[in-house]
Amino acid sequence: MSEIVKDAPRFLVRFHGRGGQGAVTAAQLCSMAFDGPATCMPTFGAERMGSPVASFVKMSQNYEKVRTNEQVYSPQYVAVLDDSLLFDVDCTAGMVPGGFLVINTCRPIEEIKEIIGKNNPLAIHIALIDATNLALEYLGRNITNTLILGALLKVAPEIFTLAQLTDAIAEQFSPKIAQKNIDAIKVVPDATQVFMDENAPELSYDKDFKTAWSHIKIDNIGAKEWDLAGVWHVDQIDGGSRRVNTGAWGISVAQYHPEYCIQCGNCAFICPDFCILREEKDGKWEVVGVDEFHCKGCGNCVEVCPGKKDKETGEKHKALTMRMKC
Amino acid sequence: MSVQPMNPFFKKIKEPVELTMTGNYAVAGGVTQTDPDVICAFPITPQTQSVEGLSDVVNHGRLKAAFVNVESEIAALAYSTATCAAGARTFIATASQGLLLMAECLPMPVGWRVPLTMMISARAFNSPNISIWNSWEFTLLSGFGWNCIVSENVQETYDASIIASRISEDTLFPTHFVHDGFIISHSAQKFMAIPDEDVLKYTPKKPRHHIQTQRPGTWGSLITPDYFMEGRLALELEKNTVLDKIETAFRDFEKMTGRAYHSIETYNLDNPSKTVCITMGSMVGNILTWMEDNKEIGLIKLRTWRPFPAEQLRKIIEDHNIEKIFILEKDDDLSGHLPPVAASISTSLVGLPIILRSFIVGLGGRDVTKDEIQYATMKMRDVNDNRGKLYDYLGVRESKGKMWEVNF
Ligand code: SF4
Ligand code: SF4
Repeated sequence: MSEIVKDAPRFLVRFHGRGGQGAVTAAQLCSMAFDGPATCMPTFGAERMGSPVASFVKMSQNYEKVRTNEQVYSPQYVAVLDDSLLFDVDCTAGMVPGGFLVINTCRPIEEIKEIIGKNNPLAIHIALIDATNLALEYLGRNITNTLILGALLKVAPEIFTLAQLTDAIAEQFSPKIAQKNIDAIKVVPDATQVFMDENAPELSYDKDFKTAWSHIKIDNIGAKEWDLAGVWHVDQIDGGSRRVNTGAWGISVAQYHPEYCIQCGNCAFICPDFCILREEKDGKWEVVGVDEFHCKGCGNCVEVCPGKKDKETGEKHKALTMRMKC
Repeated sequence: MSVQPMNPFFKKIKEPVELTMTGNYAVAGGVTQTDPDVICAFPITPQTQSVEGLSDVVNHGRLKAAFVNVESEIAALAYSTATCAAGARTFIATASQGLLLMAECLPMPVGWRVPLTMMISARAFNSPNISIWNSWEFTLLSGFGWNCIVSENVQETYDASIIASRISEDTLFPTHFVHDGFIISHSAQKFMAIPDEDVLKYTPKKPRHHIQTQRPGTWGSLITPDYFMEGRLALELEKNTVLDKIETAFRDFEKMTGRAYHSIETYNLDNPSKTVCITMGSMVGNILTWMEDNKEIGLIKLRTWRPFPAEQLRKIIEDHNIEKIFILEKDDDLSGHLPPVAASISTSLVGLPIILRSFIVGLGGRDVTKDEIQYATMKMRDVNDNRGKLYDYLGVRESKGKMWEVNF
């Protein structure tokens, strides 16, 4: 191995997105665009549409540096496809100081700094791009995973070139879709605003800022605290759907109108996330409302709700309707 | 769909070409190139895309094979054993509970000398709870006489999908090839694909034993105590020749591709601490990257898990005067003695003055990072005899806010 290859930098990138936004494809495109050994992987978890996901890319001319099959804990670059994730996930975790956080957002930088400041990241630079609007304009749909790579290109020109990226896209997508993406990517660098942190040191490609055992959520219960291993007491184990804010995913939410409800219970059975709230009254369970923290706005309950006639107008009304959030 | 994962394998591969694919799809590609006659499997996470990919190439017309849908894993293995016995090159794949459901049929292709090839995307068994993520379930079900080779990354699992078919047919024993579920099955990595023609030359379809009307016989009939043990010894004698045949298959593969594989591979054995870590699968990559900056220990990578290359291992340990061995393994069996990988290793080294410990890590998909590797290395510095418990769990919480201390 030549010395140049041996000392070659190791680029580590992490993508944050929601299931369905294409974070995994973005990582794969990166690895294809990079000229040399590269691997990428998603976080392996629930992959429901809308749930927070992350994916990783490791790239280096020196294969041994990226031979590891670990996830990436100390990335130099982080790309966030959906700024609502900044509230749920510590997107800056383990970031190398002097690295770049690229965010698809239309929020102003001050607000972004305030949100991520809660996690006390080391000194990092921030790049903002309103990729959603560009995607709607160029692709006709809100898929921003290729556009965010255009922003990455601006802050990390050393990883791959525009030509290498567009080649990878051409390989991965059908010609028509590829061309649209390539056209869009070309305008991204100019539309990306970069905010440098003057206190940030020069970016290191070798230093690792993973804190020891950070991959093991230390505040969850341990082996000695399980009542009986295998018995999953919901009050004991902080997991499952209960704590996932599925309500953050949708653009609409179900709204309950008790005056039209005949208590048929259809909605409670159909809701995939158990969001129909019920209370026991005189030995019977009655529908009383919607759990907005979890309602993801699928509309299933509205579909099955028979409702009843309005006393005054005689018109039939559903007891559940969809309300747009903004 | 805009992304067609099996696209690269829809056309003939004429030159060595670099591809980027996930482990499962790469296996589907490699198996396609070996030109199987029958593919029969039941889907289970994290194995699914391997068979999905194969259904794509069959549907596309690139691969002329019978793609047989069955109702369960046990049906899949029973069916595959039969088609393979009838002379068809047959591929099958599973994981975890699927492998358990196959268990009844696992000894059969061994006894019948049926050269089946099976991919396992290693995944935990469901205990104490369901996990779809990686553990080495296969080490607990590898006592039936199947050959078994284990891969580190996408390149290796693609290569293994080709080599395994060759090993099966050269040895006339069925072969498992294993990669770590999700960690490899779902990671996209760059790998070199081999030209179709070379693959076919490497895995020629040779005539096999079969039953003809001129010479009537039967597979697997009832056998009385007068013969059963002779049958078992006959299998054992044939099994004894397998490791050499596997090495030959690796050697021929190296001639074809330049990629050198061995049943056991070693790194930095002549290290100052005279300590080696022994492991297999995707963790090897994690350790080798860590070893870029840490030369304190050596590494032994097991590629062939069954038959276990005991003599070769013993020789390596002796030749390099290794004093301490620690094993990182993603399995446990609650048996009260060493977990499966350490058990195989320690029995191979009986009588050697070796200090040995095993660390159980990465169960149910927990990532194994430099933290575990560093901790194990450090812990071994103070271990100087074989007293007390020889294994423990590493990288696990004892209670809220407190990590479990390995107790050696
Ligand atoms: S829209 Fe209705 S069915 Fe769908 S998640 Fe919300 S409450 Fe449940
Ligand atoms: S489906 Fe409509 S009418 Fe029936 S219980 Fe639900 S809200 Fe009431």
